[in-house]
Amino acid sequence: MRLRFVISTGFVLAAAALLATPGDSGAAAPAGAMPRIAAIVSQDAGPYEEALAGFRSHLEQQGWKTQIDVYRLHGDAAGASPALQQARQDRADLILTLGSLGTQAAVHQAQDVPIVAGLVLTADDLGGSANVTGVVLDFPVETEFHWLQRLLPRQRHIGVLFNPTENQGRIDAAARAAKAMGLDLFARKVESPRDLPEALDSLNNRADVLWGVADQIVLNPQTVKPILLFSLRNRIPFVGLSATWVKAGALYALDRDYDDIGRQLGEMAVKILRGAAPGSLQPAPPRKVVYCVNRRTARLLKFDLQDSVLHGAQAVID
Amino acid sequence: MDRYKIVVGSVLVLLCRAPLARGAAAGEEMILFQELPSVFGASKYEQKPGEAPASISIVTADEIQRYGYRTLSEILRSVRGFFTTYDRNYSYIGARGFDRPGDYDTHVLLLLDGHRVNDNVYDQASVGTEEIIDVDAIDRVEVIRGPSSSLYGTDAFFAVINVITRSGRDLNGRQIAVAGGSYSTGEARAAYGARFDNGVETYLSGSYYDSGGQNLFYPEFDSPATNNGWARHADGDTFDRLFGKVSFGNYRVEAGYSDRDKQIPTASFGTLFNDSRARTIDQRAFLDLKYDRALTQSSRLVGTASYDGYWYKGDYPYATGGLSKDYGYGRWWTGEMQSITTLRGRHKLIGGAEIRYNGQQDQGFYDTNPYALYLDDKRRSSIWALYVQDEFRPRHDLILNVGVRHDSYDTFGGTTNPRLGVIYSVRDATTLKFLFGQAFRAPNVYELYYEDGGVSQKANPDLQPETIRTYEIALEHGFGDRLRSVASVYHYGINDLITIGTDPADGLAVFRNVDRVKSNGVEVELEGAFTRRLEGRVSYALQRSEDVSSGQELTNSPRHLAKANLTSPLLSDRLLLSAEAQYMSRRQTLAGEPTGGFTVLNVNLLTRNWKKGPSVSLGIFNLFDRRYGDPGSAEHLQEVIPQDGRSYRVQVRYEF
Repeated sequence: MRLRFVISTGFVLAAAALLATPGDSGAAAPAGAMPRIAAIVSQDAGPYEEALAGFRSHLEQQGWKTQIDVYRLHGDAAGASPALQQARQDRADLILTLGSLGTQAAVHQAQDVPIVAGLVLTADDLGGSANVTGVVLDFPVETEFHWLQRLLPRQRHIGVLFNPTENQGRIDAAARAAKAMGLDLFARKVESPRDLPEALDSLNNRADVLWGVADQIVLNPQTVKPILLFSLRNRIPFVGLSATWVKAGALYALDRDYDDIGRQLGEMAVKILRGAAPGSLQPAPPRKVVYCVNRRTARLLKFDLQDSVLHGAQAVID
Repeated sequence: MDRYKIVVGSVLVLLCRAPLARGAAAGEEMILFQELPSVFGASKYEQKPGEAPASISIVTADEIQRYGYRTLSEILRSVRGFFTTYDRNYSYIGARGFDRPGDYDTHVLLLLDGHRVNDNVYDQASVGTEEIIDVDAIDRVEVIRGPSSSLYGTDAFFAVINVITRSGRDLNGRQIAVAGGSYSTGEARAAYGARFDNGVETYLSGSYYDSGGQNLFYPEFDSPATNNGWARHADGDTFDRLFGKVSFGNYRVEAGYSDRDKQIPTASFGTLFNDSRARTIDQRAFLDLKYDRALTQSSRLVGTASYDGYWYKGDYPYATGGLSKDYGYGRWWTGEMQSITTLRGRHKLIGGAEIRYNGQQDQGFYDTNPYALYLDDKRRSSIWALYVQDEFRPRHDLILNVGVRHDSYDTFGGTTNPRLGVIYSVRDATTLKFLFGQAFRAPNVYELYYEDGGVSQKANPDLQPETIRTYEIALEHGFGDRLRSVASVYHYGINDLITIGTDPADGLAVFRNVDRVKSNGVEVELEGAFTRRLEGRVSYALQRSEDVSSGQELTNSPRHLAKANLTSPLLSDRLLLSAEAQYMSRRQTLAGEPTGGFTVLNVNLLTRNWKKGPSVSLGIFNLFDRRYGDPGSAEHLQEVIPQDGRSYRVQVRYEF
């Protein structure tokens, strides 16, 4: 009887403690709570560090005192399992993953821990599990086309190469968006790298801009040169995936503020720590859009970029 | 039961992983972050990977501007293994040790955006000032060595030279250019290019050139009766050209016209020396309609229809006081249908049919005063051809390229010519090519039917085509991203070579299938960026081409050709200094005497990109004023025809 009383009292106190957890994200962090967060960083590149720093800053600014255990994979997926095991042992309240290596491992091996994932390309990379949400790198096609119209107002015939296994859905969405925005989309399937030259050739007299979508078959370090050379030689500007593509020769690319992505992830983490179910938070694209332009490419393409375009760019490469 | 569990377990694991299938290559987001190779220093060969069944050179518009090339002939003589000969009337292309004096460039096929330029009377590929296109309207020149009759038919004997013109978007505005230089030479050119929002793209170009020419001394005429050997005011050269193309969707219309008037200072064909009336006028025009449509993701249909015209007129003053007039007029229709299909990613099949109707192939020769008609020959003929080529990739590192074409002529009947290429990627940067090809050159109407009433030359309508078989091994290797090397060894044999000789029965000149030629050669080249501030190409070609029956080396066949083309930025991309050195070893003249070997150095200083619009180039050709000459032909009294000494050109271009 005494034991039953103790158990009942324990349940009541636990329930009271749970009910006392503030649900309003605008409210202050609970005093004395010290959530433990395991941060799995897939790669060593700058954007990962920037996103992690933004994540930390946001929690600190919100008054959250958290213990963040950082596990760095250095690009090696083998490091993910031990990191996740350690996180389990440490009873991590939340897992932050930056990059697809850590995200894939966490989605499979930590299905009972909330996961906030960042620096993955699309929502598909989050695996569709109820315990996962995050910020994806891909911008919505409407955003892409809106910026294309703004930066290259004369280009109305958009060529795009894609591997249907990876990107059929995105291209379908792009076709709808293009139609609604008065643009023509010429999409060419590339099922293997061998298809690339012919697919490019078929766009030569149709497209006046080549739009890049993140696609492992079409855009990878081996295809950079043929695609960019096609762009330069045929005077068809290529819209790259990021600043590195612009540096290599793309005319421009939308890019992300990785510190802000970290903050965006921090906001999601706070909501989850306050009791929101991860599945109730829709994966989101980056909320800040920046862009880089390559003035040298513009010269070679004989493109006159407006001063406002140059002034608005996060980086102008020359 | 255990097996059941394993199967179900496996399915569940797969199902769990399914949503991440696209992420199989984890870390894919790195495509956004990792350093990518910059494309700005990329080799031009990236666009033409070493997968073609031929050894290819490409000269780009940028190189044309950097080196200050003025004619297609100058472009070609900078290319590995090629040389040119100028008889102060026409320029002729030599390749792989073959350019016999008197051959009107019939062994090289010249294409302009894929359209055949060789005419239908003499089969001449015009590459001097008589060429149909301005070099400033050229985007790139692709030199495809070896026999290609399996795709193109006649004339694709030693090489195919495909000149790709600039497109509207390349210019995207207007361009005017003026140039002036030695020998009272001036040139003006205007061009317009645009791509409109509705997808229509156009490029238009027009130019006018006039050169007073040189006063030339020929010791063969050094007597008071012939102005002590001086030909004065007899080297003038004038041309005007128009070129335009419009493309929209699947269609492209392209047209060109050129009219060149050249005085002949050499007193060829025994004409009066120092007579400024001696001249040739060459007019060339074409209209080409192309339809190129993707039928499916993996197949394309290309159809072309074209109409061409060629008009040659020659004025030859003889001692009688009147002029002898020579002419050749040609007009022809060509239709071609081609399908390009990729089958299962392994076969790329090209099949096509071509038909050409020569509605006019006229030749004439007459004296004006007193009038005497020697030749008034009018011909019509037709040609049809079928061809197929398969590029088969049995493995990722192996390409087999097999092609064959059958041509049928009204005159001599049919000929079938195959080509086989085995292209093996030894490593990523190393390709080995084994090439075999057979090509033909059909006898042209000049060789078949020219006669002058029993005065000097008679016809031979029984001529058969010449054939060549070439065997070649080429090794292409890239050193990093910026240097590329090529080494090739070849052997070819020519049968039934059409050669002009004298019929002992009547003493008249006549073309016959008499000669056989064999040749062995080696070519090596290194091209790319040698340092951060020095790029270009160096090449060497060694060849021995000989007449099989006599064992004698061919006339006008240099054994050694060495070339170095180097360019360096003096101030970023704004001030460039380019230099080219060309060495050619001695050649035999028709009389069996050797011309001396020579080295010429050309330099060009180009300034551009200071601000949008202007660019200026100063070219000095034959900087050290080296005296050298090219072997003359049978129509010349001169064994050797001296070439230009030091000369210069200044060109100012403005784009807006």
